[in-house]
Amino acid sequence: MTLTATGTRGVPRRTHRPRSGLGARIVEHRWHYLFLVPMLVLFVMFTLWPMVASWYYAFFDWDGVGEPQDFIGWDNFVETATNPAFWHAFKNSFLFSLVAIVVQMPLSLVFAILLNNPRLKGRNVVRLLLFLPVVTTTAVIGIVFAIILDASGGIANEFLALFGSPSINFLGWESTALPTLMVIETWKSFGVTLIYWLAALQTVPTDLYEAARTDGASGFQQLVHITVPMIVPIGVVILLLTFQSSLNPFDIVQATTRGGPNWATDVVSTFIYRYAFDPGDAGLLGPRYGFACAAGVVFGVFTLLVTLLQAPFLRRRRIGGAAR
Amino acid sequence: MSMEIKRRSLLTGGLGLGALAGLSGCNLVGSAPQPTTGGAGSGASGLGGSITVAIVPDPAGASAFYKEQFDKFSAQTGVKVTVIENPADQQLNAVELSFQQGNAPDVYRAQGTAAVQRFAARNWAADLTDLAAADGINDQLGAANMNPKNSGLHFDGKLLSLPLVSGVWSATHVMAWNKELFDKAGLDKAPTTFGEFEDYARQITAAGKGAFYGLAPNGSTAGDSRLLQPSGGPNSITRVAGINLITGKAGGADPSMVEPIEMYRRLQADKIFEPGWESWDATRVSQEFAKGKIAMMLIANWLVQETLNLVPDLPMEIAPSPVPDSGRKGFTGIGPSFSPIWSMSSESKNPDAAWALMKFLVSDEFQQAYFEKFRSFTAVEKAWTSATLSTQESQMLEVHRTTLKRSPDPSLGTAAQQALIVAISGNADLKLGDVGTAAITRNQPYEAMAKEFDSKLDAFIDKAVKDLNAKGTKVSRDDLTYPDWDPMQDWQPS
Repeated sequence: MTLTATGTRGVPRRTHRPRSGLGARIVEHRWHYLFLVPMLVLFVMFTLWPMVASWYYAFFDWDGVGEPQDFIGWDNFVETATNPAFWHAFKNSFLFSLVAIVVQMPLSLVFAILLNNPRLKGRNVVRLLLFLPVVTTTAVIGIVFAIILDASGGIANEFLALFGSPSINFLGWESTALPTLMVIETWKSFGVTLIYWLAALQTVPTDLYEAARTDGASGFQQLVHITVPMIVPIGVVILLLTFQSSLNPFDIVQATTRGGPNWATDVVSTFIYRYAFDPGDAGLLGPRYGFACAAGVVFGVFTLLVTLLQAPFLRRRRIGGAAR
Repeated sequence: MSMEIKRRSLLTGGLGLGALAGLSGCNLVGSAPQPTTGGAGSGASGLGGSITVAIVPDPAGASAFYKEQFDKFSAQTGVKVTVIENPADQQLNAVELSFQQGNAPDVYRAQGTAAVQRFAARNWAADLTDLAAADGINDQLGAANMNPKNSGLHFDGKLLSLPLVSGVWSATHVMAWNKELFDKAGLDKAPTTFGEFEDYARQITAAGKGAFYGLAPNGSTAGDSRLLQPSGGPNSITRVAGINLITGKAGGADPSMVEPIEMYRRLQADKIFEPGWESWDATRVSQEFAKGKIAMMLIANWLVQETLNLVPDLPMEIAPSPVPDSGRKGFTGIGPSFSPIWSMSSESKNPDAAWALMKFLVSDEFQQAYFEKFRSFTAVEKAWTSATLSTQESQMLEVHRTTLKRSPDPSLGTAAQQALIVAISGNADLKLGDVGTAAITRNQPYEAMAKEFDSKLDAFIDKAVKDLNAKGTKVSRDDLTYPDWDPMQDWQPS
């Protein structure tokens, strides 16, 4: 049904009639599309093209210089799939994600709930302090932690020595290097997840809490029956973002252990870097961009599958959360 | 409803972005170089215009040194030099990208044999053969050193690079020991055998009681095994991708590797090393030496002066690395006369000026200045043979004289041999040094691990040979085999 309004002088006013057809809709929303163009151009250039190019290069035995010419079919993928070092790095990458989801997310939610309390004094300062590591250069963090955790004269070991503890090479022992990096990465990324949760908490209408308090609900009951159900839908998105961002701890690994000791902290991104840029003991002896791309594609596909596998479960949680 | 749509959109968007981020796992974009400018001047050479040179700012102080030297060059020739600095591990990637983009530097630091081979394969390195002959460069560097068969600068008979330091300087290593710490442990001379080396390390650590230690291994990749192995057998095992060039097969389990690594495993298990070495590089080890925390270290030549720069009056003595208790069975290997460093672009738009800079880089003036600044033994020997040397430098020369032998090097051979070596080195997860480190840090018997490594490396070599043959490159195990090589003698290339 089309509504027609009449002006004060009886002249029919033009109505805003929805147009049909893609072309018509594009014309109608031309300004929206125009403003999207810069973002789309950048997206194609710096996200889509490298991604598609990586898939293409993965089918070549290519050292990264000139045009790839030596087409080898699926060989790079087969080599990736049968390379124990790749799966070791793959496992480590997912362990980083596991820690981010199981430790970082709940912990940051607890902090967000505490910091969302308007009666808490100095909460903005605490938020700032928690966010500072996010904006600190990872290389600097790597250097600082290497100094703090140094087995010979580092502050951490000097402190432990007060209690009679022998020196611990946090970043140099296979048993401690990966957990240490996970702690550093959690500390560094904590502020981002905290900000996400704070944003989620601020979407909960305050009148719900007022009504609950009127009904005599305790703080814990408000948390369980109002806060959590209301933030679950956004929590689903936070979960996905945290999962994705935690899969690539390249910078902190490269800045501290470079995948060592004995590749105990190797992750897929450092594995790819090693093959693409730094394969020889003495530098670039034979970089294998094609193989590195194949490793990237395999990892990307698995990541996509894991992400998609979460979708039905997460959708149920989202609907369930909204229904409550 | 409206809220539901927004939430669905949010979820969908999140999934989509997440998936894209995941699929973008392979983004191989390098970082941009940091341009700086050199000085400009005018001269009476008839040259002019400008050129670009890509350098690596190593060692410490090199940036200022090169700027000063290029300013002098500009003043002499009137050629303006623009300097691009890249970190060492990004230099080749950056230079290769610049060639691909059509804005290659006129002169660049090529960083070694494999790199020059790559540039040569793409015709990016200018042929300097005639220029060098015409301008007396061969005489400047020594006619014997410049033999195309062993210069290390020739590829397929063409001179494609010029050196910075002498080949001897690049090839050798030394043992540094702290006389004062030795005194405290009741010792007065450097160890000469593995047995003495182990005993001394234990005595010093015991005497130090936590204040100082016998030693710390040179970096986290079993670097010391590379330095100790050559005295026990064919040095190619640690010099050429884990291959015993006498047999042409993987040599990780050779006794010359087993003995030093087992010694280090014992020392690690008994906590003789300074704690923390597992995450250090060679520079850090030298810093610990300078601080008086360790009494011995096995290091590359250039680190001697770096260490003395930290503590000029350090009681540091230099000696050869120890040899097996059963006696020396090999020497440190020197393949080529030089390590190739400077190359000139074949695409230079100002080749006269570029060649003038190349000549400047091997001139008496530049080489003298480089030696005086960094105390590295330069390619032009008269820069340091006529200089007054420090005690440590004289000791280093003695180590060079007594521990080096010319050795076979497939990377100096045919194009097919070079291709095979590059292919073998392309497996970043098949490094003998990693096996040694794992044995030492996990306290596991090395020999069994090395045998497993050898079988993997041999299988990988077979595959590399097969792949190269399939691509039309005639190559075989024979190209890695020098059955008449005696590690106790100088190798004479045929």
